[in-house]
Parts: sequence; C-alpha cells; structure tokens
Amino acid sequence: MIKRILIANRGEIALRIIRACRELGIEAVAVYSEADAESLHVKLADKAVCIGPPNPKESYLYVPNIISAAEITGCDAVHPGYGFLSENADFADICKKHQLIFIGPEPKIITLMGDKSEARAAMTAAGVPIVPGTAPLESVAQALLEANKIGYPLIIKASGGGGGKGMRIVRNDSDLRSSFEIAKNEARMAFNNDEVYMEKYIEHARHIEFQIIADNYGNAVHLGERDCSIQRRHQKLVEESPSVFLTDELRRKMGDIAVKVVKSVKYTNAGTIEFIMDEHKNFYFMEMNSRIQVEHPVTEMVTSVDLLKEQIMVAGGAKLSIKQSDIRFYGYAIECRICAEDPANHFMPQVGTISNYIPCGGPFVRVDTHVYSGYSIPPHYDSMIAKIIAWGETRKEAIARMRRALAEVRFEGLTVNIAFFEKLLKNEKFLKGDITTNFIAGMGV
Amino acid sequence: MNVNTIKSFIKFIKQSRYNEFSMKDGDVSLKIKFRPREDESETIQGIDNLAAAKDQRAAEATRDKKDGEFCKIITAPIVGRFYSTMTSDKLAPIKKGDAVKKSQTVCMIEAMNIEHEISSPYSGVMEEMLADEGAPVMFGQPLFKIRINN
Repeated sequence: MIKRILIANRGEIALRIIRACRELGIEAVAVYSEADAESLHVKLADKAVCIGPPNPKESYLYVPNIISAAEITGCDAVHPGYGFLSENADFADICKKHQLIFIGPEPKIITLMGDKSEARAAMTAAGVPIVPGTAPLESVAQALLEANKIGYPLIIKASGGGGGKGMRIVRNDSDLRSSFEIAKNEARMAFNNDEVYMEKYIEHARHIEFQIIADNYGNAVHLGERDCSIQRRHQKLVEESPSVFLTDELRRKMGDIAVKVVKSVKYTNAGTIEFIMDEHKNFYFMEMNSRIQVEHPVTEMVTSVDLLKEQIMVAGGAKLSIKQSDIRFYGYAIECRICAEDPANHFMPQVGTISNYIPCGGPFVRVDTHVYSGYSIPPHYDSMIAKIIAWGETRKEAIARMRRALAEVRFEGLTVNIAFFEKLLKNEKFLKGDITTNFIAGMGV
Repeated sequence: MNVNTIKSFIKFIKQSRYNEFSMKDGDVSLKIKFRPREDESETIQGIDNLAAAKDQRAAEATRDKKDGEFCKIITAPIVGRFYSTMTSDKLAPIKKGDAVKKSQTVCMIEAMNIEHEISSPYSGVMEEMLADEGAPVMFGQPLFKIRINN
C-alpha cells in the first residue's frame, strides 16, 4: 500500500492528484519551480519541495532533483500526471531503480507506445485495424514511392511525437517534396528524433478514444469512449462522452478491441487508445497514450469511476475494484478547456494576473482549476488554466448546462478563450453532433 | 580480512554510539564512517522546515539589504541532503570566520546516493551556516552567509 506520493507535475492535474491522495489517506508531496511558489498545488499539498528555476528543463523535467525530492521526503511512489515526464520511459525506470513506484505502466510499455511505428506493428500483430501507412522513411524518394502505392492524401507524422508537432498533410507529389524535410526538422526540434512515417489522411475524420485501466494481475476494463473531434491545430479543446456517432454495437466492438490490445501487450495502469473514424464509421488505431489524460473527467462523470484513485490503487498492487459488467454509462458529459488565449487574436497566449476569479457552480458542473483571485499566470508553462465539465441526462442538457456555467465564470484581468466556446456551443452543426477534426478550421475562427 | 569480518565490524559500529571507526592490521587498514541521518518522522519534520527556510530566506534578503552589498547567500543548486564534510575526508568543514575563496568547495549535497561538491560563487568570510548537518535541502535554500571582501 502506497503511503506518500510525490507529484511530479503542476497546475490543475497536481491538484487532482492531491485530492485523490486525500480521499485515500495518502500523503501528497508537491514539487514546484521558482515560478510556481504561489501555486495552489504548493499550498494544498502536505509538503512541498522547490526543485529548480522556472524553465521546465531545469525543474519539472529535471529528473535528479525530482528523485532527490522524493528521497528526502520519504515518498514511496511518484505520480507523473500528464505532459512533462509522464511518458518518459527512462524516468519510469529511474523511479523503479530508486524503489519508487511509478504510477503508470512499465517502462518497456511506455517505450513501445511512445514509438508510433513500433506501436503500429504491435497493433497489427494484435489484429487491430490500423490506418494504411508506411514504415519509417529514409528519404524523399522512398516517401514518393510509398505515397503512390497508398494514394493521397497522406499525413506525415513523427515517430517519437505527438501534440501535432512534426505533422504535415500532403495532397500530391510536390506537396510531399516540399514538406518532407520540414516535418523531419520539426520532429528533430520537438522530440530529438527526426524519424517520420506516413499514414493515409482520413478526411472528415472523428477522433474517438477509449479509456482503459488494467491491474498487475491481467484484469483490464474499458470505460467507454470520448469524442475529442473538436480540435485546433491537433490540440483538443472540447471533449464529450458518449459520442453521438457511435452505436451501442460499435461501442461494444471498439471497447472489446481496446481491452484486447491492453491484454495483448500486458499493459498496466490507466491509458487511452485513440482511434480515428471515417464518415462510414470505419475505425483505425491511431496511438495509445500511456498516462492519465487531461479529459479524464468526462469519463468520470458518465461512469462514476474515480480514475485517479483507481490508478493509484492498482499501482500500489491492488486488484481493479471494477469488472467490465459493473460499468454503467449514464447521461452525457462535456468538457471545455479554458486557456489563457485570446480567440479574437489568433489564440495568442496571454500572461498576467487574475485580479478576480468567480467560479461557476450549481448542479452537475465540475471545475478543475489551479487558479484563484490574485494568481499570476507564469509565462513558462501551458496556457490551460481550468477545465469546466458539465453533465446532463441528454447531450442537449449537458450543453445547456455548459453554456450556463460559461456565462457565470469570470477570470477578471485576463483574456481567456470563453468567447470561442460560447460561439461553438451555439453552432447548429455542433448541436446536431455533426463534428469532425476539421470543424474549427471550418468555423472561421 | 574477509567480507564477513568487515560486515561484523559494520554491524558492531552501527549498534555502538560511535559514528566513525578506523583500524590497522598489518597492511590492511579499515575505516567505517556513518553519516548522521534522521529517521522517517524527522524527515517530515525536516521538510516542514523547508517552508520555514523559505521564510528565513525572505528575512535574510531584507537583512542583506541592510548589510548593503557586503553579504551574500550561497543557496542550494540541487535538491538533497546537506553535509559539511564528505566521506573521503576531502572536504574540511568550514567554520564561522573561515576565509572562503571563489570556486572553493564549501559543502556537499548528497542526492540519489551521489555526493555533489558545492562550491562558493563568492570570495569572503563565512558568517553563518544556515542549514543543519544531514538536513534535507531544496533548490534555492540558503546554505551559508558569506561576508564579501572589499
């Protein structure tokens, strides 16, 4: 049983982990950079250790100080949250070597899932449909040859990447010629690995992902899907569960595949299997995220399963507390990611102080945020400042609640992207559930 | 001397009230040294002190202003445990009033079972040691106050 957890993260997810620890009677140790000394996770944790200057490379990504902080505070486990070191296999391995439980899958699984080409090979072996694509590409000449075999449009992707970096859509030979090196360079800059491959680009696609969780004894369940099609430059902005596009039969089929994948690679802890779905409801494996995700609350709202607590319990050696037959889906949940960005000015990131924060509330509204009145947004990190999640018996009710919540909440002194959501939640096509990953680009914002 | 003999020496010293032991037997010399290390409950205490250390740092900063530019604080560049000595005897503990040269090793911080030498960014005289022997220190925590030479 875990007694004290070091939280190797900041912001709202650090708070989310502290809350799970409190409910489980586990002590929480926060780490922070000099820019986050006044952050809420520092104030709310049982202990807090400063680990470095504002630059994440010297603090939240600096492994020696994080391990050392766990050692001097007598922690027995580390929760990496999302981003930062959450999908770093070396970090997971170092934790293990220092007798610290890494709350996530085994290092070798992180390595497997982190390498997009290897993950695709593992999925093919497990019999999971994958988007037609290529092996890692050596040269433009090879890329052109492969492209003409599969057919355009294609998307160039980085083997070591995610978050939209290193991705390029190409529609013909000349596109490919001009984009290949750019994509390689972007991949090298972002992930220190310039290996790229290509996949068939699916037009009018939906992003559907399945939440899974598995224990160390071969038990695994899925907790349904999240529709994350509303994206801007491959960054998710709105997530909902369930997806209006899926039938019960399709949900069962995809869920079964997700569980099969988890069992075939002997995956443990929480994870997400991302699928891309075309307009004819054909679905293909995209990638697996070996961590808790930003959008996990929508799943918690429709299943009543506390994913963070379950994640900590299985990492500590407990069996899953739930069986697949126990999981019931009830109602609809929707999440909006509130970012310090100006939608009227190309979503330009904003820094400054929130002079007055007025939270939204009322029935079936959840807010996960680390901000408070007087909090200054440090310029060194992600621009997301809050997640608002609304639940409803129907999708229509969930959306109405979200609109009500967005009209209540105030982050005075700072421009945030709420105006964008207000526009989106009134859009006829969105209300009908007619959404694809290109939706925002088509909205003209 | 075989491994078991050494093991029994270590056990014996651990149980005794001594932290250090050395002997010589013919060509063989043996030296055993234990570091003072707080137990679990004290570790948490140590970390509670980190918050206090931060307040102290703020207080130091105000005091420093009064001292003008004559005093500087050496802060911890890494997270770990603070020691004024090293296992190898390479480092002699510095005391109040000792002269300190720029780049001179002034203490050791143990992190991930590795001893890291910490050097002074300033030349001057050691005024005050601000961390306790064997105590956990976090990034930026004050370790020494140095009076700068004019």
